[in-house]
Amino acid sequence: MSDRAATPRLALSGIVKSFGGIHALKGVSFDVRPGEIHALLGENGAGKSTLVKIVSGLQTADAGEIRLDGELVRFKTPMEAREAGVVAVYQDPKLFPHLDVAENIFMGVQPLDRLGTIDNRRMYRRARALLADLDADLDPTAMVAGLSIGEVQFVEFARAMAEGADRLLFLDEPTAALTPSETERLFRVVRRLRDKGTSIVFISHRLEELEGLVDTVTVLRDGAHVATQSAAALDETAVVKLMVGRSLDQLYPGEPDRSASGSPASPRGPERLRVENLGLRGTFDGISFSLHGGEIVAMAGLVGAGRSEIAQTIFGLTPPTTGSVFLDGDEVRITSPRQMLDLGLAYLPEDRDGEGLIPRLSILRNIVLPLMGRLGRFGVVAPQRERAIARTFATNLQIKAGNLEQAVATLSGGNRQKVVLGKWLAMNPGVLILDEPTHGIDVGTKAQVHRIARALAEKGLAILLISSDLPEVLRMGDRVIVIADGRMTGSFSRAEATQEKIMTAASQRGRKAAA
Amino acid sequence: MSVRLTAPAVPNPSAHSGAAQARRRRRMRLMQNRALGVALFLVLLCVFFAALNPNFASVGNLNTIALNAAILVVVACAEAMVVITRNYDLSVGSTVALASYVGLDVIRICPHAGPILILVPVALGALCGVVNGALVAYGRLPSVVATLGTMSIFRGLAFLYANGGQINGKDLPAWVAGTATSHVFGLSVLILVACAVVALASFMLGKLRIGRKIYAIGSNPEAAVSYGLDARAVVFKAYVMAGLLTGLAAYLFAARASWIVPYLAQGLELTALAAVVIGGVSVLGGSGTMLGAALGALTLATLDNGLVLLGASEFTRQFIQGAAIVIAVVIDAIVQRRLQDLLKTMRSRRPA
Repeated sequence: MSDRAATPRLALSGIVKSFGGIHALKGVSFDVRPGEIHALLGENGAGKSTLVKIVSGLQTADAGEIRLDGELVRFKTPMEAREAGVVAVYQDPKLFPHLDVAENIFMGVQPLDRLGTIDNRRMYRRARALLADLDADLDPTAMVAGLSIGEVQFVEFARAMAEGADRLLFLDEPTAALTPSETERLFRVVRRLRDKGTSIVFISHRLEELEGLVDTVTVLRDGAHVATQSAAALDETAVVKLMVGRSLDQLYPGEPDRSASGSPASPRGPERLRVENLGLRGTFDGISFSLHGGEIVAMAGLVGAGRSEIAQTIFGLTPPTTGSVFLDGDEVRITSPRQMLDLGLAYLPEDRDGEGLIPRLSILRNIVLPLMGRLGRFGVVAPQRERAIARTFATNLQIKAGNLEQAVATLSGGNRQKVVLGKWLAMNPGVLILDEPTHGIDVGTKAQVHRIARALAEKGLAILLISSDLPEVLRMGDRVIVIADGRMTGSFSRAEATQEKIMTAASQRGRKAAA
Repeated sequence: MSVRLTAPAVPNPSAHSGAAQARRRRRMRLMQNRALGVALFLVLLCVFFAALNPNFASVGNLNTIALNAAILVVVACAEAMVVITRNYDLSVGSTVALASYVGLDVIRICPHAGPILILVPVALGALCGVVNGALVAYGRLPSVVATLGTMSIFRGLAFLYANGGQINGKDLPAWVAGTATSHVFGLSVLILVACAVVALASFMLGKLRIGRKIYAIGSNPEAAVSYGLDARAVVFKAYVMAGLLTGLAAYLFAARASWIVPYLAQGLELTALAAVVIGGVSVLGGSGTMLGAALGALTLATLDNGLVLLGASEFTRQFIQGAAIVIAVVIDAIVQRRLQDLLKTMRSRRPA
């Protein structure tokens, strides 16, 4: 950490934050100098967004000190932070769809006239000026509901400028939704702000775009500070190494690491699923891969790369616009999830509470729910049969609960995940798609889910494992495919795959603005 | 932990021509401006009734409609204010009963204090609003349940206070009844008050920061949090202002009635909600205007009056009013769905 300037603009020391036992930040300390562009990097779940929310007043730290220009601060609301010249543009923009652009920019800080009423003329004039400053071709009177996501992002930027982010501006993944030319425009503004003395903390995953923009780089990993270095001293490879640098043994103590052996863990069976040139307009295209019985194929990539969308398309939630899908060698015209379930393909969604479970119903009800049609005889379901099936899966999957009548809502995240798994396994599928099955569950249960997945593969199931967790991808995948920007940017055998290779493929910009 | 990577986005596939974009925006704006549609509907309704019954369009009858609508306009504005924040107030009828009975009883007891005592029912209404606002904004109860509860509580309090009695309008000072019957510039005071309420409430919602925050919170409560707007204080204030207007309406109700009883204004909450919905205020919050709500109230009064003139039975009138409400809600649902679709396409271009 260099101390060229006397007092840092922002000095963090020992910031701790945990959510329900999971430590998001474990004592993070680093400084941001006045008038610099500071990149904050790290993998999924490294704690970057949490840190931004804490400094900007959206959340409060459990422990630690924040100093702004040497002065101890603890913002309780974003309004307080804004008054001190600290503004954040969060990862996914939240605006008021019913209101127009200017109103969204100035909500809560509208210019007032002498009588204390909103000065509309000044507000729209200033909005127009701000948007022009950002080179954004946007009408201040346009309703936000009709804007494209890139335009929405510019409304957010204009809002940050309007608030006078004169000390510290956080941009959390600001370019994720932007085209290259929009990105260039944004960078011009960011540089201009820096030259005026504002410090900008910039979170991004497009490492290539940071070159020539940022002055300093800070890397977080698993909620801890790894390094803060001058950007000039680092190249992309070095950054990636800092981001992923950890050994698998550290994460999964006591479990054998098979990834070194180089051969599939279970015998490869016949092809169960083949996807050829699959595409969904505007979301992904050109996706081709195959899944064999007994193997686990890991699908890696950044959040938002289109992996869940691909899975949902194969499962029939959003039928594809191009390409074909073959199940057990026969081409399938995908129409609905019902059809795919009947053909033996099950999908375990990432958002298990929203899509996978009915929280107020019992474990038993949840497990037998999709089975009702099959168990029934003339529409009447025998309770003993239901119970027997539910008990089998609850035991096999080691669901920890008092009894089968317990409401799913009362279970822990890991156990809820197992109920979803049991629900689909009861359908006896041949192909199973697991979408982030261990996201947000503790390490012990995670290892259990891994063992269950492996056991299922050994029984001959073909499993597609979508995961943003690199160690998980490496340890579970017999093969690894990487998706970036809705395209396949890499395919590795178990022997070839490394964290660095996957990370590099995942941060590629798959598609240029041409689409 | 929801700290995740977000991918480089799929570039906006529909960076369509500016013209299409502009057209879409114009359409959205038009859909938002539903007060215009209500006004158009009202005019058609008047033409329809006038064609069937020449008495309808007489100055006397139109004045009657306006008089009948005036109080409902005030209550509809109160209701709309709350509905725009994505909440409901089911207690307006009971608030009217409590504020008018207790308020007018105070006026009866101190007849010499003069018209300043109008503030008593108004303050009582505001107090009811404080209770509702506290329960919904700070107690975080669902507004339907909370105000369903206070609907019974306020009504019960009115009955308890009345203790089986009633207030005879003749026992009140003459200026009370005078409020309902006197005219200024040839216009009934009731109508003038209603117009003033619409104008003031529109000014508040349109030109003051608190007004815009009311829309913002109804439009997207989550965004309100990240903007740092104090949603609770805003919702609380909306309820208090609504209570204040309802208290004013309570006084006007009492001024028109010859007997004031605790079962006054039963079912008013539903009529007010109907007026608000017909007036194009979205039941999902975030959009709607005071003018729209007022036109909705006027539409209901016109419908009722016209149907009476046509000799329609009570049941037919109920049926047609019910149908009008359903149609209004369907229109609202269609507009909201289009809005949601637009939002969804907005989001899907950035899968996250």
